[in-house]
Amino acid sequence: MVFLTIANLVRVRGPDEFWRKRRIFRLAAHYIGRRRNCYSIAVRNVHRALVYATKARKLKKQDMIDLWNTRITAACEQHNITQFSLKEGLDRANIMLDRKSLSDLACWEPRTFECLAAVAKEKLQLDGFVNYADKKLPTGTELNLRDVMLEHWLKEEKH
Amino acid sequence: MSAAKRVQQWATFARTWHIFDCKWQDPYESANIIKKYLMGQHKPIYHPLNDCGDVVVCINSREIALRGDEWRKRAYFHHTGYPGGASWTLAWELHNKDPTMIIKKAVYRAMKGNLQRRHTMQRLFIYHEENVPEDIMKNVSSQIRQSRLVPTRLDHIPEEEVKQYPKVMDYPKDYVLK
Amino acid sequence: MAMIRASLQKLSRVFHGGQAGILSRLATNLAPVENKSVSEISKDVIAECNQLIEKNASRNFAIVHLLGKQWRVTDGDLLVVEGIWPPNIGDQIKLDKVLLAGTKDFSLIGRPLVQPGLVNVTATIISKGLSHTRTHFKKKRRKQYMRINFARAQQTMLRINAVEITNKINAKASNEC
Repeated sequence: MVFLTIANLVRVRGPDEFWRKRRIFRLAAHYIGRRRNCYSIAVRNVHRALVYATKARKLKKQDMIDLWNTRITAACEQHNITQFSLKEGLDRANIMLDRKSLSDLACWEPRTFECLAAVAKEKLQLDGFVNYADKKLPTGTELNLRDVMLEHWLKEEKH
Repeated sequence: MSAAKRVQQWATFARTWHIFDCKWQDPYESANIIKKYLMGQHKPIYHPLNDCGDVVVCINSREIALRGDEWRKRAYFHHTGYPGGASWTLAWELHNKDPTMIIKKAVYRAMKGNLQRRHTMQRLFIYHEENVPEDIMKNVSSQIRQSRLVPTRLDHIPEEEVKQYPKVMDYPKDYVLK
Repeated sequence: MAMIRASLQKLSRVFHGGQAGILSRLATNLAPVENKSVSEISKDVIAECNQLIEKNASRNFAIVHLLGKQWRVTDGDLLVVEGIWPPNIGDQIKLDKVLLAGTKDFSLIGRPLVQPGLVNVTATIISKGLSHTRTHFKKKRRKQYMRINFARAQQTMLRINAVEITNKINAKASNEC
């Protein structure tokens, strides 16, 4: 490119532009390649990243809830109760632990969780609340699947 | 970390080997059960980033049961990558070619598609019959409960027992059984 | 028929065999199950627990309700509570809403809170400040829509000084007459 006047050599684009671009480049500093060096590419990626970060703050909460549910379900299975009836039993017994603390207990204080499961079972039994899903797949050493299914079937017939 | 803590750590994250009998089980239903054990979702310590999955050994995969007429209707798709390389294999054809394939694909599809999936699949052993190699069988210490009851076939019940079973009536002698 | 009877027996055993919930852990761990009535068992268990409380053998934990969230805390824990909250730096506070407390050997389950004065969870406020800046950025492609906002939430840092089981179970609180 040939510039005849010195004025064309330096295109003044205002003092603001430098700082505006710098803000974006600061956020793109840890990117690799042209994503960090070319403004037009950097700005697209920075905007996309910021949108993701904004959305992810909500998703993170959802992810945590999913994880708690998985853990509680796993622990409930060990004590032969469904998550639904555990919650129902605890609510009826006025024990107001939320999913976060229940999963915490399931992970770190399994003995306490065992008690909670026992309390929920006992309370449901006292209230005469029967959840058929609970009895279907019990854990135990001497239980025969054939008997269990028969029990299930017997109960279904009655009601 | 003290020695006792270290042992506790090993014990917590040690892999358990489970055995699962596929006899008369719906592969897609049992895939959801097997998946849970493979990924470690049956433990309260589960976290997607920690490696707490167990090993599952499936036996009798030749004797799985599909619903309805799915043996005839369900098609498995494969593409070689070349033009005109698409092929559709019916479930019964696939099962004849490789009796472990249906359960394997079912478990693979039951899991979420991420980078971990193929490594998790490495922990699944499938055998089409009851004979499992000794070096694998010696690790197994637990059994996964089947979701369905395996019915007994009439021709597998001893003949004496069938004869002793109380009858409502006898067919007349001149009755022609079709 | 025999099978049906056996299964019914098993059913009835399941229904009558359950022990009292909170006490089951102790009943299985410490006191061997004998032919005692439920009230006797619970008395024994409570006596046993009270002995353990006196010995104060292990570290305790508690689940406390604090600003709409439940926290599992133990001695020396650090909590970061988000949101506007009056206590200032250096304040010693007592967390009263204890939903559950436990030791190595037994756990006390509150319905919904444990007996007031039984568990003492004390905490000190060690710092108050703002969180990191959260950028709230919205953008729609090809729609000339872009919004950016910055938010910082108030954060209070708490140090749990002690989780103590101070009183006996079923004993009267000191302010009670």
